Amino acid sequence: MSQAAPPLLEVEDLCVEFRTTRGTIRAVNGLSYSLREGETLALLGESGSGKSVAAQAVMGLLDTPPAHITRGTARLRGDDLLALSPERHRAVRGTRLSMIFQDALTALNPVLSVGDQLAEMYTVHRGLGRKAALARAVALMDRVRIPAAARRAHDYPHQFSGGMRQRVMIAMALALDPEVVIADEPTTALDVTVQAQIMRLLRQLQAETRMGLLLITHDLGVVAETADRVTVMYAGRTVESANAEDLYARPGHPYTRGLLDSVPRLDRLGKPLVPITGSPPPPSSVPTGCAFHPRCPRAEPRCGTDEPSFRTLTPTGHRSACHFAEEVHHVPVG
Amino acid sequence: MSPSAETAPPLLRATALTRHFPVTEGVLLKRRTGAVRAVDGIDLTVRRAETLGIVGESGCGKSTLASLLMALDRPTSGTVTIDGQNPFALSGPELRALRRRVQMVLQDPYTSLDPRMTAGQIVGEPFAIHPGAVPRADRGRRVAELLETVGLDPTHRDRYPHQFSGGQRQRLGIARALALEPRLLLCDEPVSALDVSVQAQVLNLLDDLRRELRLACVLISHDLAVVQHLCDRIAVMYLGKIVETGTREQICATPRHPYTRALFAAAPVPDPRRRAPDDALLLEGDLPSPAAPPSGCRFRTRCPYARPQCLTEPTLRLRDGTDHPTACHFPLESTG
Ligand SMILES: Nc1ncnc2c1ncn2[C@@H]1O[C@H](COP(=O)(O)OP(=O)(O)OP(=O)(O)O)[C@@H](O)[C@H]1O
Ligand SMILES: Nc1ncnc2c1ncn2[C@@H]1O[C@H](COP(=O)(O)OP(=O)(O)OP(=O)(O)O)[C@@H](O)[C@H]1O
Ligand code: SF4
Ligand code: SF4
Ligand SMILES: [Mg+2]
Ligand SMILES: [Mg+2]
Repeated sequence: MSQAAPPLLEVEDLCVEFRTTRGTIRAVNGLSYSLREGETLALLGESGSGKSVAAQAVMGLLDTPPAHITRGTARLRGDDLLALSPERHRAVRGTRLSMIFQDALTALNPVLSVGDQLAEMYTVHRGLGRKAALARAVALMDRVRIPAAARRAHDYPHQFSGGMRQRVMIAMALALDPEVVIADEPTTALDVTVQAQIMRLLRQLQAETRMGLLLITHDLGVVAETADRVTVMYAGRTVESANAEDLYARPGHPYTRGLLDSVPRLDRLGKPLVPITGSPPPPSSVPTGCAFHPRCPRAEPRCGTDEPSFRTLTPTGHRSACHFAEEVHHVPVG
Repeated sequence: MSPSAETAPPLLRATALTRHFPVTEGVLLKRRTGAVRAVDGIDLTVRRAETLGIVGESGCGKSTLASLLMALDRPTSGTVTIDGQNPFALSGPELRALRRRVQMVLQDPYTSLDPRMTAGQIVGEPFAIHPGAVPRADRGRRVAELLETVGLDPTHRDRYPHQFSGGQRQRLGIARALALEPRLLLCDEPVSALDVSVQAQVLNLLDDLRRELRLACVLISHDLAVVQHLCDRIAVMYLGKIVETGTREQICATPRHPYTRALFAAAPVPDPRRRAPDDALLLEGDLPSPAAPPSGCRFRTRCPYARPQCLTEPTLRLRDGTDHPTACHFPLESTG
């Protein structure tokens, strides 16, 4: 595996703080991941774990102040995005790097027809004339499988159903053939039958374009259906990363294992749930040592004081930040 | 099941239940232009100590149905009976006594609790509304017991909701619902606002409670896995109607309605080795508006098996008595 493609997007030791009058909140605290061409990497974490803030940092969408990127790099084919001026960062956004948000209705312009919004991408960035741009917009709507695209291009976002609106946003994100697309909970607001359509569409588009897809979600099922590799976050930190099959079959971190044991599953009728005790900490009071220690069934005294390093467990690059990662990884999920 | 449970009237029964919300146009002179048929002809029963799951996608009418079943909202037509009695024919103390038997837990643990009341006051509030339930002198002890029952520390009774986590707030809501020792607990999306790692705590609590207290439960959720995990029987809803009911095993192993099967196909399974192939059949389109449901079978616009008959002939209302009723002209035989 030494000849694997070089990473497309490589984030290392990212730290983001919010400095407010009520104190400093460390929302992201040492996040690392790497995404390769044609690959889907899932960023899995519960609410408040820092997934969206980390994505906004990479996209250059954080307001400074109150947000401050205090450490880390985010290299897109080697260029550090975090070192770019806001103007340069904006130029990268949309062209090389784009984002799909959870709520399409607030992300789209309500007073511009969908066709015009998509066409604008081509008039502004590609210098096309209005007519040619509109033709491209319709072709794009076709590509994300919006029925009767030519007619629907004249409609406004609120005239589309939730699922169709999400397709419009995907079209917007793909318009300029970006190298990396970050999808932040793209289906969380949708019904499960529509979610299945959208996730399939994303997989198909990715296979066509070879884009790198960073899929942000809290849903273990969506990750299992889509991701090649997974990075798990807890309280702003990376706690585990592995290819998807390894992660689900043999998690190397007690938190990941706890998540897998606690979700009800359609394929395991009648299996008891084993919950994780307690709840995730707010970023204003993250426990010392291993942030997971107050909830961890495996914790020992040193877990409360020593922060575990994020280390490699297997030649395939399974990594975990737990003092007992090797032992935890040794036991398959039952 | 004991013979007495068989012959006793069901704890809760809905017959031909509908709830239509008028759609109006105009600002000053509102004109009625149509109706949202949120609940449109539902029959169901909940027996003693049984858990019934109601599953369906957003907007199919689950919460509207819940308000009708709890007699918090009046049906447009049809009847609800609780313990054989019609709540809408009762008033005063009789109605209050009937209401005590069925209690509800709401979805959102962040907005359903009064932020100015302490945990103890929240859990004890039902005693103020039903003063006869527990003598005043015993109320403090009873509140402590209730907090313990749901896994909260009784010494935290003087804390306010914001001092509890989301999962703990949901426990408070459950303790309050249990205060009057109801026979039935209705939970509308009890875990969907909670963190993944906290959901299992609340699901296990509900499971323990229904066993230990022999409580009947109605569990409403958009999540098939949650419903499957907790429920003896499952009713699948689509656009204001129940399209299929059966035991958990019947619904999970041999779903007969194409919509039920589509729900299973769409639900992602947390195991990458069991990924569905990318050519597996998926439903197309979104849910139609309940203000203008399709003619004939409501599912026909998305059904891969629809035939001409489905366009014109309404599917029959589900009735009790059959083993595994399905509102489809061409029910599926076995899982393919
Ligand atoms: N502008 C801000 N000012 C202060 N704190 C913020 C701000 N934005 C986010 N945070 C905090 O940073 C933490 C991480 O938030 P983030 O939105 O990244 O979580 P998330 O993992 O995306 O969660 P969710 O699954 O709920 O979307 C949260 O505790 C949040 O309250
Ligand atoms: N008071 C009301 N007035 C008008 N329409 C209503 C009212 N309450 C609900 N509706 C409509 O009735 C339909 C069913 O709504 P309901 O809230 O019962 O759905 P649900 O299945 O609980 O959905 P969700 O999963 O999103 O909670 C929806 O189309 C909704 O917009
Ligand atoms: S380091 Fe300790 S507390 Fe943290 S996950 Fe490992 S065993 Fe648990
Ligand atoms: S009645 Fe027809 S359209 Fe409706 S579910 Fe059955 S086959 Fe499909
Ligand atoms: Mg987020
Ligand atoms: Mg609802």
